[in-house]
Amino acid sequence: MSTGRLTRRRLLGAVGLSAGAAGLGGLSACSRDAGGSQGITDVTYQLSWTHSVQFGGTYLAEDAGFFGDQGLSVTLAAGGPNVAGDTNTVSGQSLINISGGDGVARSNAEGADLVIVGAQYQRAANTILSLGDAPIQSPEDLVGTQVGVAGPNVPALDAFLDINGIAKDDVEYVPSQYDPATLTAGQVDSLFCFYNDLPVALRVQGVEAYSMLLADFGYNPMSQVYTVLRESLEDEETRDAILRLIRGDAQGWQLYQRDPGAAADLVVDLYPDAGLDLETQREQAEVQLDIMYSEATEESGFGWFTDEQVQESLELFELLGIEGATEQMWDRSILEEIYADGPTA
Amino acid sequence: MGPQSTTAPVRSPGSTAPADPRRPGRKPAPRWAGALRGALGAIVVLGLWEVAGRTVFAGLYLIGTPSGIVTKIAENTETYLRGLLFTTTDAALGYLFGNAAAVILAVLVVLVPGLERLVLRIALVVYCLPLVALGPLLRLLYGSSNGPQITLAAIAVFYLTLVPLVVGLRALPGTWLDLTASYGRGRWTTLVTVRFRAALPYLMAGLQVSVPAAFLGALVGEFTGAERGLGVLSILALRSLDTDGLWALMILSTLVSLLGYGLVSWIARRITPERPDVLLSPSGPPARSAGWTRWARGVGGALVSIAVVLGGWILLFAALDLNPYFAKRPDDVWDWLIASPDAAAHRTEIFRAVGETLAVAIPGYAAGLLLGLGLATAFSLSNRVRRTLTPIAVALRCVPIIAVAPLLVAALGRGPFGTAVVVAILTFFPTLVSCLQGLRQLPGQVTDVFATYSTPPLRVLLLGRIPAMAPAFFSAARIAAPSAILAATVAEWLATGTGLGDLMAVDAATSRYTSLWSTVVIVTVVSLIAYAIVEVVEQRVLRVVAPEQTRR
Repeated sequence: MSTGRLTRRRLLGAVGLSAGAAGLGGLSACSRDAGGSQGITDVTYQLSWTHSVQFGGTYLAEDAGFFGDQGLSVTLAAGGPNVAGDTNTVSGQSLINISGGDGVARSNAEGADLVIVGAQYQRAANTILSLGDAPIQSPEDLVGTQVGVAGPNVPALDAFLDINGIAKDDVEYVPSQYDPATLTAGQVDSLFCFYNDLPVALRVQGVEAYSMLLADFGYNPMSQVYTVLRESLEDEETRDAILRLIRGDAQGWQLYQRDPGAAADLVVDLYPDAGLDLETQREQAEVQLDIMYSEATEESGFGWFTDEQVQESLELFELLGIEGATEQMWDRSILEEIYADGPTA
Repeated sequence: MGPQSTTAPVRSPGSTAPADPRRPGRKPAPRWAGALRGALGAIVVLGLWEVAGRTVFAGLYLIGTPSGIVTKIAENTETYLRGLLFTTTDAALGYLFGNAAAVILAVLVVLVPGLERLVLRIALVVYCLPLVALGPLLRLLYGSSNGPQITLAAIAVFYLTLVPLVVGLRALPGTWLDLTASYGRGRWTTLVTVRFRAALPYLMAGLQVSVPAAFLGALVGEFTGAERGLGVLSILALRSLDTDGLWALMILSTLVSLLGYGLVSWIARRITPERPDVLLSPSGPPARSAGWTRWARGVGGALVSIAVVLGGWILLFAALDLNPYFAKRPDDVWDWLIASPDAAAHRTEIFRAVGETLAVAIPGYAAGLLLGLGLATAFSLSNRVRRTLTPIAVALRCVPIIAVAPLLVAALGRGPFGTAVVVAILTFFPTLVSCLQGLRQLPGQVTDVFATYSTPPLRVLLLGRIPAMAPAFFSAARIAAPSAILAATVAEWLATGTGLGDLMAVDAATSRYTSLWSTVVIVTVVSLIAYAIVEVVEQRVLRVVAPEQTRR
């Protein structure tokens, strides 16, 4: 169902291209393209950001033919600063997308019915980045300083301060986007950003910096979660496609764990137009091992999440002011099926 | 009040006196001397830049150095050029579609004058739609094609061409119309033989201004999940603190915009007739109908426009079968802003953001207009100033604001000043181009009169050129009003994280689609109001200096 809709949308887009560009409406033609003629299912996998080694395991899976082995032809759709990943899944543009746990809860609060079926990160990547000569090493260090924070992250920073018993008034929020120059130019004392993004950039540029993972101080929402529509899980065929996709993806991430450098080389090769720097990609590939693999993944498999994590997330949502989320937002059955015989996909 | 009460812009071939500010008689310096001076100047500027980058700004990651930029370009030539090619292709396609739509609409408006107000209003609404919010929605519609880039580029240009073109199609003496009428020819012949000629300079001005706008549209489109292009490269450069790379990308795209601009200017010089003609049209009685009937007609027209826009909104979404999860309808917006119990809180949130945005947009807009007007005046008085500053002015406008906004805001402080500067940069240029073209609209015969009395250039400017420029200035000022709001929201989205730009970005990021659509509606309405205010001022002024524009 959702794969058929996907092709229709794409076709519609192509028609809309000419009509929409001319500033005139009147789009009507659309037809249904029967995807999957020879047992190969076409699916779109929406990533959460522009192409980089952040999705290294996925590229390895594609490159090693793991998706093909699962009977899938996967289109990897790039994200970016102006991409609504969850909405792409809700609208049927993509079968699955990578999202944040709190983001999914917010989408559901707005009327979506999305389900998290796995989590790529074992620890949340949110971090507070400061310069080496004035490092912010603990939440207390934030008192009396200026933090650069992008609008969507304000609730997260609120919750983090709350968890650590710091009054919001003691910290000055400076509205900003993820521009590291605001930090190096001294306009803020620290920047709310992501562990495997700006800190790596600073290191590669030779800027001494300190990165404080919020997950080490009680703020650990599930991140980089596999997100699908509930109705996709209820449809047997679509659920099967999701299962095969995640199995292939997890196989890719298993390869990644053994050789992250290969993923860096691959992504630079695969996306020559993304302007990726090999050194930075290698560094990032190493850095994110930290947050993606843990004892839990060794024991239960890549992408695993526990009931405790679910409870923790639910408590966090309350702090974040997101309403209406319940355990129903998670479904581990796909992971359980993949890892039925042990922690290897 | 001299000639200006009966003159207004129009060009016609075959007059004699030089209209161009280029003054004859002055012996030009040898070519090589000029070139040498230019080269020396460039070397000094580059040297200072390099030194500043390595000393004062070292370690701040705000300013790339010339040596670093050149190295980056050399290292990544292939990647950068491919990115440039993708973005340029999308921008060019958008430019083509957008301008074609503008010409079609302008012709429609002139052939069926009854439709004019409605068509222009709806075109304006489309132009006022905030790119920031439109991006992700277009991506949802198009999927992973380059549709969003092209559509955004087209939307960014079509109005910039439409407005001057409509002005131009009307900028002709009544006698010409009488002439075609006395031959028993209809509107079509008039259009082809007379109006197109008169409109050509205006069309070319619009086509020039829209070159950088197309680029901006394509770049915003690339921020919505494109696979390649300069936008994608600059996101990465920005986030990886690759300042030299970011500057290299900015300079490359500036060069391409400059090339495009130069090409259109060159064509414009080739095909537009040199000399404007006197435009005799009676000032006429100030108002032909009673105040209240005009007022009633205005309100009626506005209501019809609103009905058409709302109807189009509902029908288009229904025809495309868009998912109501993200594609909210007018009644959702009504609920959000008016009917729901939380409506007051929603309104407070949005209007607070409107206040923040206007606080930077209005000063930036005023500064941009003054700068454009001032530069145009200076250019028309001094050739040297014109030659020195034109490339800088064009380059400023061609610099992709998407890449430059975060830098400017970082460099000028995170306060409103930085954003206001971004707004000024985005608004001054259309004003400059339009005013320059307007200043040249002083009819030859009038120039002759001034020349006969050896009037000093400043007086010619004050009494002749500036009044002749009024229609062009106001058409630019009108377009600049929504552009200022666009610029402010882009800067807020990418850099400051305040105001409407941020509200829309956060709404899109947190799936608050009803809020997003409501904000889009409010931004559009605010842009429309800004436009209407400028229009009222314009009508008052033009009734005196260019009555043919207000003739109806």
